[in-house]
Amino acid sequence: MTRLTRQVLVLLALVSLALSGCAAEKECSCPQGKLLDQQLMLLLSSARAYHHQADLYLQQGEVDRAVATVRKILALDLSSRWPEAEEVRLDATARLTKLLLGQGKEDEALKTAADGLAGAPRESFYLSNLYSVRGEVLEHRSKRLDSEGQKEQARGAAREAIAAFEKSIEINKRLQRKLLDEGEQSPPEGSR
Amino acid sequence: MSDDRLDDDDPIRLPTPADSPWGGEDPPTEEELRQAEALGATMDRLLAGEPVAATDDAARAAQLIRSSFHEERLAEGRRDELIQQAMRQALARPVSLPRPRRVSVGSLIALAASLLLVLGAGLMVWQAGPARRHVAQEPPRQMLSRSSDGLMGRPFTDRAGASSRLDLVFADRMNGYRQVVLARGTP
Amino acid sequence: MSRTGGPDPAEAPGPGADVVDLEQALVRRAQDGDREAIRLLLTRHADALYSRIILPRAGDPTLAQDVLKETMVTAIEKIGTFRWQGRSIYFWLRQIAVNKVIDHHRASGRAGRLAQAVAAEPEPAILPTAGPRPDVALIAEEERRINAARISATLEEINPRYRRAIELRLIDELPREECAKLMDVTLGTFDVLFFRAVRAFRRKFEESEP
Repeated sequence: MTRLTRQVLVLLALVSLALSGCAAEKECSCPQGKLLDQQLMLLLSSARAYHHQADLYLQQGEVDRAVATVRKILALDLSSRWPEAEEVRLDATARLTKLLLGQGKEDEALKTAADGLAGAPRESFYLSNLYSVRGEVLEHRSKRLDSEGQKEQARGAAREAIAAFEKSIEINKRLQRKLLDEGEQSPPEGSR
Repeated sequence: MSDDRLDDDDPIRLPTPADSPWGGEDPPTEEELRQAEALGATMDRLLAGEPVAATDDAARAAQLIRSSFHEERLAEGRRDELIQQAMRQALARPVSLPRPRRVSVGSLIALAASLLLVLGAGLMVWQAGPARRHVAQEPPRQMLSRSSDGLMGRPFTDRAGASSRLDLVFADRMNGYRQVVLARGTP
Repeated sequence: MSRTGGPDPAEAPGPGADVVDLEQALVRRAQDGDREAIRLLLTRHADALYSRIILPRAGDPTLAQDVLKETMVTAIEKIGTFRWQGRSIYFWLRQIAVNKVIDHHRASGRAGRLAQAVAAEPEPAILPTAGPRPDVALIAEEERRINAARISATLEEINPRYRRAIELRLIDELPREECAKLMDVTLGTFDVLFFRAVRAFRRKFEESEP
């Protein structure tokens, strides 16, 4: 079978499926999104390499270098036109936030998380994770303020931390329900 | 003008308004003025993006310097044209760019059979009635860019696991991307 | 290995590795005579060959296009001799392109030494931090560095005033009028300075020994 014939057959198969869909009634659980392309694959590949580099730096105790490497991920073209790229952005932001907190750079960690959360176009486990990481930073801040005797400010930070954790939990619940509905996931053990 | 008068190794200082513009060099001749002006005009056109042939040594050297620091790309149409010419020359018969190729008899038969299939599918659907659910109108899901939530399956418990999460996503998408490439043969 | 028998992307050593694996499949198809595969391979690398390899060594865009076409003709004719060695076919195409440029310089007679200078250059180093399969962006960066270094070395050897004229006009790409202003000369004077600068550069460049 020639290449053209194969392509024609694939095209016609798709057309016939489309016709079938049109002939049916409204409901069609058609997946959304565009075809995977080289640009996205290169992006994911680069991000993955950087993450592994950061792992190695951390293993060697070189936290500064790990931070710089994770920043390189965020410097990639992580446009939200691809859901995967948006998720890489959120995950790298979460990782950077944790690294900065580990370096004692609490303000910078909070800002990084806030920047990452701003403009996130949709809910995902990645977004939920970033809220949770923000909650951890705020929790850390609350404990620090409390230990410094700044009780009122400590309570304020604690409230913000709780709000961030709650947001994370809500997103998780909605997502798990959605995944169950779509049949993509078995109910986790112990769930209602 | 002989080369002796142009001592390139003489460290001529940058001129001040009171100095001669030529430093220790001789003033230009008419011919040199003409060549210099021509080079200036050629460089103006090159820098403006015009396709200019560098016909003399000076223009070629200037372009060589410039293109070492600035990436100059071919127009896409010109690139494809050169590829087509090269393929024609190397393969000794006309080569088509992405346009429909001539089909063989076997392909025509396959085409006809496919059309019959489509018509048959349409008829079956029509007969089955509107209540029937049908499958996705789009290519298989694994070939599409999409959220990884389904792959993750549950909230993250280990927030240090960005590497392993991305490993998982990447491996999954690579499988899908291979199918995309195979389906249309284009990277 | 993945279940399909191909390389497992989870074990890929570097950011460009999986693109290289896809390219290997294209090369195999091209060697089997698949014209579309040939066309895709050439399309993939033609821009880089032209802008980073041929034009910075040929100087003349018209000549560079001819060299590009000749490079592609040779590559198509000899694709059957190419042996996959775990890295992009780009490097093989690059060598063909460099050889074609050298051939042209030699054929022009006058520029035999220019041909030697071009022939003596190294191909892009395999960057140690990138692993055995550096990605396209890293190779591009290395090519830029090689091109710029080649020119800069010669620029350092010419008269500083000439060097400034070249830097302003060709590297900073400023208009002639502005270059003249910055060098505190008239436009006509700048044109002559620039002309002499380029001539001095060419002489030095062709004289440089590998």
